[in-house]
Amino acid sequence: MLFHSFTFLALLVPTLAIYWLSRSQTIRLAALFVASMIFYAFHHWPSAFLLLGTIGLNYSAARLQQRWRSRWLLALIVLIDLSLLFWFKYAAFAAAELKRAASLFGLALPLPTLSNWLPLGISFFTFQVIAYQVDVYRGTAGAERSLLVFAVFKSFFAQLIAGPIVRAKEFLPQLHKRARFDPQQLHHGLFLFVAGLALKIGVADVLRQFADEAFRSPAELATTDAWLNLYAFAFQLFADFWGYSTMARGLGKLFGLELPLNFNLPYLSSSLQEFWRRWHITLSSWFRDYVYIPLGGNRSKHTRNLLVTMTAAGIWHGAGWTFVLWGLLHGLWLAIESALKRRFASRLTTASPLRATAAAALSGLLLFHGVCLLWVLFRAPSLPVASSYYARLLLPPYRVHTDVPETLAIWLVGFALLQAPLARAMERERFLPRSAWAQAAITWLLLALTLGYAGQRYDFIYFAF
Amino acid sequence: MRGTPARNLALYLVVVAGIALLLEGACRHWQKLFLAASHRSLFKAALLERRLPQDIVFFGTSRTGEALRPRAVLSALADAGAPPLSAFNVSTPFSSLDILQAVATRFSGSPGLKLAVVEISHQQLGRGALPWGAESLAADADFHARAFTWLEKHSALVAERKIFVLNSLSRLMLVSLFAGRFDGTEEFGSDYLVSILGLSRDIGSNAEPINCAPRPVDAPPASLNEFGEERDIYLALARSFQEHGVEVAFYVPPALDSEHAWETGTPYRALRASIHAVTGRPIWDFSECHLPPHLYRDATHLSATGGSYFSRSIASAIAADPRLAQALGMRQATGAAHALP
Repeated sequence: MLFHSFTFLALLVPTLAIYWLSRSQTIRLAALFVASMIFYAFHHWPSAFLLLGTIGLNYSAARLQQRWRSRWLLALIVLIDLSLLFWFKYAAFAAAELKRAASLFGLALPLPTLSNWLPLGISFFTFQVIAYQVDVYRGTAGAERSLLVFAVFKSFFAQLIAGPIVRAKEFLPQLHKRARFDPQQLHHGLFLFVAGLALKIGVADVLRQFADEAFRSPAELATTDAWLNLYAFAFQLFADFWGYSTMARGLGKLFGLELPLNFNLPYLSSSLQEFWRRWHITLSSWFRDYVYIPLGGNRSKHTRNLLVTMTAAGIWHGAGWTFVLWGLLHGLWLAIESALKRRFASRLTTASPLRATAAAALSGLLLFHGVCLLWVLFRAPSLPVASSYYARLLLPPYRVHTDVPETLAIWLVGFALLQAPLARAMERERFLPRSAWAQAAITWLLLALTLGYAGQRYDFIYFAF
Repeated sequence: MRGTPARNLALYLVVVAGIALLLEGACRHWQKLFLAASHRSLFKAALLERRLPQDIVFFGTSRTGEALRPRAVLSALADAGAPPLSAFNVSTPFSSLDILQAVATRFSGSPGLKLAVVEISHQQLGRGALPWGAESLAADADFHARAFTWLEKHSALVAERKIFVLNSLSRLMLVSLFAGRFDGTEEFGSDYLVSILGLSRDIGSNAEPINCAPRPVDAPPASLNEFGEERDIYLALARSFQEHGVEVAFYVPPALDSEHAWETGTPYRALRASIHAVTGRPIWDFSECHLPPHLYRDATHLSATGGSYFSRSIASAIAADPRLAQALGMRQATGAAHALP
C-alpha cells in the first residue's frame, strides 16, 4: 500500500475519523495499531507476523532490561534483532558470495539457495528498536510499560517502512499524551502531504525514467548524457526520499504527532560532513550515536571509526559490494576532509568574506559532483555496471550529445533552483501565516504537478532498503 | 492569516476546493483543446485544423517531419510551374500506423485538400492503441486502479490532467496563440521560436541538386506474406482520400545507410507492391537513396538542411506525375524539373 494510492486513502480516512472522534487514548492507539498492521500486511501478510513477533520480543526484553540493567541482555536482544535483519536481508547474498569464493578454490559448498523475501522496512524498524534497547540500557529512555504504546511506537504506519527513524524519548511521550485536536497541525499536515506527493510523483517519478534508462545500458551513453542522467538520479533519489519523509511528517501531524525532519537541503552543503548532517538525518544521527561515538568518535582512532561507521551505513542500504564500496568511500572521504579541515582550519577562519563565500560555493559544487559520482555505486546493480558508467563519465571518447530532452533539462534546472524555496515554503512558520489564497495557490501548483504526472505508481526507492 | 486556526483551516479547504471546481469547469469547457495539447499527434492535428484549408498535407512519423519541409516543396513546385499552393506537415514523432489512420481519416475530407503524401516505413508500420484513447481496466485491477478509472470517467480535471504537464502547457500556448505561424516541421522549442519569429531555415531554390531518385515498385504483389493488416489500413486510407477527390501518393523516406534501410527488405517491398497494385497510386521508394552523411541528424532522420534538399526530390516526383500535377493545377507536367539527376 503506497501513500500515493486510493487504497491508502481508504485506510487513512476512517482511521483519522476514529482517532479524532474517540476520547479514549487506548482506542486511538488501537486504531493506529490496527491501521498500521493492515498497512503492513497489505504488502505481504506473512511479514506482519514477523513484525508482531519482534514487537513482543523487544517489549519483553526492554521490560527486563529496566529491572536488570544487563549488558548481556542488551547484547542478546541486539543480536537477535540484527540476526533477523541479517537473515532476511543479507543471508542470501552472503551464501552466494561464500559459494563463489569456495568455487575459486575448487570447492562446492552445500549451501541452500535462500529466498529473497525481504520484509518491508526491516532495516528501519530494526534500527529504531535497537536504539530503543540501547537507550533503555543507558537509562536515557524508560522501558515502555504499555504494550499497545510500544506496538504503535514500533509500527506507526507513517514511518514504519522508510523512516524517519524515531527515538523513544521523542516519540513515546507523544503517544502517552492524548493529543488535542489542533486545526493548525492538521492544516500544515495536509499541506505537507500534498508537497510530498508532488515531490514523489511530479519530480522523482519524472526523473526516474531518465536514470533508469541510463543505468540499463551505460556503455552506449555519450559523456554529456552520462552526467545529465546521473544528475537526474541524484535529484530523483532526493526528491523520492524527501517526498516520502515529507508525507510521513504530514501524516504524523494529521494524528497530532510530530515526526523529525529527515532532509534539510543536503545538496546545498559545502562539505561531506555537512551533507551527512542534512541527508537522511535520522539515520545519520543513528549511526553517529550508536556506532561512531561508541567506537570512540573523534577522540581516538578517528579514521578507523569513520571507515567502520560509513561502511556499516553502506551495508545497511543493501546487500551488495556496490553498497560496501559506496560506504567505504564515503568514510574515506570524510576522513580526508576531516584531516584537511584540521590542517587548514586557521586559513579558513582568516579568509576574507568574499573569499570564504567563493570557497563555499566552489566546495559546494565539488561536493555535489563528488556525491553524484558515488551515487553511481548506489544505483548500479553491480560493480561491472558501475565501472561501465564511470568509464562513460570520466574516460574518453568524450562525446557530446546536444539533443537533451527538454523535460530532463527543465526538471534538473527547475529542481536545483526551487528546492530551497520549496523547503522554506513547507515550514510551518512560513506556510500558516500566509493568506488562504496564497496557501491554496501553492497547494494547487503542487497538485497540478502531481496530477500532470499521475497514473503510474512506482515504489519509493527506500522501500528496497 | 488572521482568524481562528479552525476558521483558517476551513477557509483553506474551501479555497482549495473552489479552485478544483473552477479547474473542473475549465477542463469541461475546453476539453477538446486541452486534449489536443496533451498529445503530440492531436496537437499537430489541432495546428493543421487552424491552418485549413491546405492544398497538400504530409502524413508520417518523425522521419517525414524532418524530410518533407512544406516551404521547400512549395518553392520547388512553384519553380516547376505550380500556382501558389499551401502545404502542412502533420507528421509526429513515434506515430504508429493507428495514429496515422486516425489523423489521416480526420483530414481526408478537408475542403481544399488536393494531395496527401503518406509515409510508408519501418517505423510507421508500428502498431499500438491510440495514446489518447481510454484504457480499459484490467480484470485483476486493484482498488486504486478502479478508483482512478472511475475518477477519470467522471471528472474532466482528472481525465485531462495531462494538461498540467509542462509540454502540454507550452503546446496549449502555441496552438492558442501562434498556430498560424507553423508548417508542422517544428519539433523542439527552438524550432517553434524560429517559426514564430518568421526565421525560416529552409534552403531556397538555389539548393544544390542531390542524387536521389525514387525506385520503382519492383516486387510481385502476390508475394505479400507479412503486413496484411497494415496493407488493409493503407488501402482504407487511400480509399478515404480518393472518396473525397483527394489525390494520394506514398513514399519511403531515405536512410543513412543500407543497415538502417529496413524498407529494402522483401516484406516491405511486397507491401508497397500490393498497395500499388490495388490503388494504382504512386509509391516513391527512397529507401536506397543514401544522401551524404552530413544531411542526416541520425541514421534515419534527415537534418533540417537535408530535409530541405530532399523536399525538392519529392516536389520533382509530384511534378513528374501528370495526375498529381493536374490535381495541383500546374500549367504543365514538367517532369524532373529540379534536383533529380
